[in-house]
Amino acid sequence: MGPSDAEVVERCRDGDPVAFERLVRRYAGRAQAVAMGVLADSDEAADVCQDAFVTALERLDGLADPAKFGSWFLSSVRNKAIDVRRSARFRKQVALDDLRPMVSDDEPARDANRAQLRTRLVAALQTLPDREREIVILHDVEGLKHREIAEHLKTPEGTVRYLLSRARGLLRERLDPELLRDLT
Amino acid sequence: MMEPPVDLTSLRLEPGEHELLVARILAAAGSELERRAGRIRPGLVLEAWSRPILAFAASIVVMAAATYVWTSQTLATEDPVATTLAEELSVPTPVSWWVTEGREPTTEDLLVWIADAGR
Repeated sequence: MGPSDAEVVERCRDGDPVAFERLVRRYAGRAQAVAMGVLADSDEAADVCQDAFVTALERLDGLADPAKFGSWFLSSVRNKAIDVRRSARFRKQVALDDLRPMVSDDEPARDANRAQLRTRLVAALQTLPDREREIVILHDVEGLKHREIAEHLKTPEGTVRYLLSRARGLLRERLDPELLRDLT
Repeated sequence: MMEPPVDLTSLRLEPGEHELLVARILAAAGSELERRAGRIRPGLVLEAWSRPILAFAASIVVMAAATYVWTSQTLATEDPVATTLAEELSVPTPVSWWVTEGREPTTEDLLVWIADAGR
């Protein structure tokens, strides 16, 4: 469980590196998912995450209620990702070749398969409408609840459920049948 | 009816990727953390200064008290000083009596004074 966000944020304000690392470990995965939901590009999402954490640290004194760090920070991640998407949309269409697989020395075959699977999934996700893609990634990748997604996107919970179902349907249509069999 | 999910778990960060991301973020935030750690805050400044200031004030009080005690003792051992107006003006003793007693000199007083002055 550990200390609350409010306690950790207070310590970060004093430049405590241990507290900041705790905050990063607590939110890095979720931030990556939020950015990935907007960008559908893991490298760009990681860049946005890094930038958002540094910006959040710089602006920590302006956060009126440290207990609300989570929603404040994830909104900032999303806004940064949207900015990147706007700036990148017309200069770059993420091609499948751009999605570099992450292959380690330990298990090259397994990692290569995983990277290939990711590439195909990301390619299918990129074809979804923005809002549907965000919702399906937040729910089915990061495991956020409908209510949490509704709060994050400032959208009614019923709409989130509807868009999630629609996103899954579209994803099924756009994944090739062989891959789909492995994933369901 | 809700569509069943497609397994997207392969998109989650693996432990190694998560560590890599954390390390990147910590490295990028290093200078800001250092700046914050070295930042002077009013509360800390007051805390840092209050003790020396209190110690300085206390030493001044001790010195003042010591000076007062020493001065009092020195004055107590010295000859008593003149305390009346007549004595301050160094007038002859009979005159000072008249002044301190608030009376006019009698003929007898004047004769005694003239006799003393003639000596």
